[in-house]
Amino acid sequence: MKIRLDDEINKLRKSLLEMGNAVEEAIGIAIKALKERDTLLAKQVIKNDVIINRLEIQIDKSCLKIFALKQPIAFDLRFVASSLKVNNDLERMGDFASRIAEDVVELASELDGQYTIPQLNNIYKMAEIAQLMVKLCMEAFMQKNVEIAQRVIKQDDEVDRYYDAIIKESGPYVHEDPERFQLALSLINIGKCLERIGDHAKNICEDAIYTSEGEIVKHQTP
Amino acid sequence: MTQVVYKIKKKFNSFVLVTFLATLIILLILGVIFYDIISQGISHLSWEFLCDKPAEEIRMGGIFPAIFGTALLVLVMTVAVVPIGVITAIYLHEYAKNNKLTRLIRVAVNNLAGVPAIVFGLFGLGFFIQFIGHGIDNMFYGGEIVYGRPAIIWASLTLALLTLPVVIVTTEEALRNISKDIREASFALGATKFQTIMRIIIPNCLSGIITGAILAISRGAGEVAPILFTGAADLLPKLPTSLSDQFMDLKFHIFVLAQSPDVKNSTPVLYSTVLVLLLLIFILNLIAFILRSQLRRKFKSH
Amino acid sequence: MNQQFSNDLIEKIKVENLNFYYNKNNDNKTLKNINISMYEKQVTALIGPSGCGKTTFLKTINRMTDLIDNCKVEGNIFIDKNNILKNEIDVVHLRKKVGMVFQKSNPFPKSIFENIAYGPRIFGERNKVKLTEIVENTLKNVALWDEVKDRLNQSALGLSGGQQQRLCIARALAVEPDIILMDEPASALDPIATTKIEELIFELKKNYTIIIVTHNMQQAARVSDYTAFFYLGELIEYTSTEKIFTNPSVKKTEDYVTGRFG
Repeated sequence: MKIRLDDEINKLRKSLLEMGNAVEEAIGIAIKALKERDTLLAKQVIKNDVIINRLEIQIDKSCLKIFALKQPIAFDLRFVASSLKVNNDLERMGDFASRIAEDVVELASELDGQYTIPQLNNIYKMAEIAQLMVKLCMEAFMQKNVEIAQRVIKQDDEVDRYYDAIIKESGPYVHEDPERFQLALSLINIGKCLERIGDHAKNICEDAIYTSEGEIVKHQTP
Repeated sequence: MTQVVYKIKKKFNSFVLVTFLATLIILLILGVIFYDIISQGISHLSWEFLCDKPAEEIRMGGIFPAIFGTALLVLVMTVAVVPIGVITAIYLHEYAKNNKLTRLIRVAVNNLAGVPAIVFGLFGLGFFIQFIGHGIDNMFYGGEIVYGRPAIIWASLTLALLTLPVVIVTTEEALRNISKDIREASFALGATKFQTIMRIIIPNCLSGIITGAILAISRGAGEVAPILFTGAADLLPKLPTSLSDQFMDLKFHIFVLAQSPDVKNSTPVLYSTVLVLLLLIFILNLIAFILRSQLRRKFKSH
Repeated sequence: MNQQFSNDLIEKIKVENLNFYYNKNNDNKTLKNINISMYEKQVTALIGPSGCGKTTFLKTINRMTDLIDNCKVEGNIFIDKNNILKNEIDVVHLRKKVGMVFQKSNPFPKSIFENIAYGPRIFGERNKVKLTEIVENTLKNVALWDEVKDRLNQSALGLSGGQQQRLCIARALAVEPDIILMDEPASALDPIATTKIEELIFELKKNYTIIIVTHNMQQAARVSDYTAFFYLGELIEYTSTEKIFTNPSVKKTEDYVTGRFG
């Protein structure tokens, strides 16, 4: 029954892509909201998280249905099994985007007039890489592209470095400028969210390599 | 160990030897019989012998009427026995329920097979000629004796009774060989029982039915007791032109010839007549065999 | 036990209080009080361990059980609102409307053409052109046309097992049924032939209501929309295939589908 299995898997792929796009967009809009100090935009991101969660439930159900009714094996089995995990990673990424938006709402007033906070530059750069990682990791998973997956896994190091930089730069704010304690914490938090997004993107890439080659590459020391 | 093996080998070889010898002996006996008949019979065989009527002088006449009579007898018998036998077999196998009546019918059929041929002859005389024949005469011919006497129709029917069990049993065997699956498939498509029998079962049994016919012909062409009182006669002036006529028969003719006091003259004629009888039976069987194999070939390539 | 699944579905077969006795002289029931509705243009699978009555149930739908001596059927089976168990019903017409494919393929010892033409001929079709059309269409429907179009006059017995089974399906389609009953149609076939049959069922579903008995649960999962689980003559659970294989309601069903018994 190859035809029907392929139908179901194509539906699954479509749903995953939809979710990936939604997550990518959520991150983008959250950072845009940060740049433009736009609370309305930020609130939209928080609201749209519901859509991402709904997609997660739908994808879980689809995977279970495929296992029960279609008996996928070999590549199809690895793909559907990994889809369950990718689904989870994407949902967490959506949550983090939502949390960034929450911080943006809180920070809106604080950031008025503060246009040259050095950490913000790092955050923008981090966000750019994170967004790209989300886009590329989904590409790697969908197209079984091991090369892209490996590149993205390396990019996670870059994200981690930016995060370390943000912590270092935020240190002074915590000690020396108690008024902007909240600001510092929020910035660290946003950085943390982006760092976690990078980690989940890396997970998706490891699943992409597993699906493609049947080899488990996670938890390996670099 | 090798001793045992050698003994087994020996036994096996001697078994093959024994069976081979048995076959050889049978073939030898058959060969002797055929040789005797053919060598003695072929001398008197001639075209005139086959085509002429018998004459006063035993050596001058022919046996054509007897050939004609036997062939016609067997033909009418076959026409009678095959349809009745096949229909009976179909009833027994397809329609009859598994109850006492059916069992009774089967017992009757089996017992019929064991009745001595002369008894059939007497039955033919008493039932066919005296009861039915006279009955027909009274009803249709106003008392004039047309059918109430020995006639080819009664002889054929008597032979048909004799060979009926063979046809029934062979046909039933052929019916049994058609798997239940095929019947189920036919029913599931909406066919009635009758349609299934006519379109699937009988066409596939034809080979078996013809086998039954072959066996009936072989038996019927060789029995003389049933036709003794029911229609066979010797030295008739003309060939049978209607079913109510008497007929000459090869076996009866042989019977009569064998009792002739003129041994010197009758012996070659006798042998030739026997040879012709065997040839006739052989040809009848051959026709049926060819018919059957044509049918089988048609089904294979179908 | 009679669940209405969705309002889009049309009830094609409705079985009410069906009881079946193989021997009318004793009280041993092969089918016990079956109530089920099966829907038009859906594939309904009947699963259950050997001897649970699913094949007997299948055979009551086209009254092939009439061929069993001494049996007794109680209850009602409505097909398109007509009770087909009534004595007045024309069984021949019923079997035209409800076709059947058997476990072991049983083509007639005739040519491929004659096998398929048999059904229409029974119902009076004599026109050679029409018959040829029917043969071609049904063979195309079962994806057999290309394989046999050059040897329609050769014996059907020369085909492979999978081809023979597809021929039997074509033969059943030739009389234009609404419903097709399949009794383990692929159980005697190799995996590739089985896949072909399953794909065929998926195609046929567009135009026919299909009821399939199968021993192979994975097959039921792949092929059917609804599944009915029979056990010892009773209908234990009847629901969508997805539900029965992901989360059955009755424990016995779960034990059976997970392979813990039967």
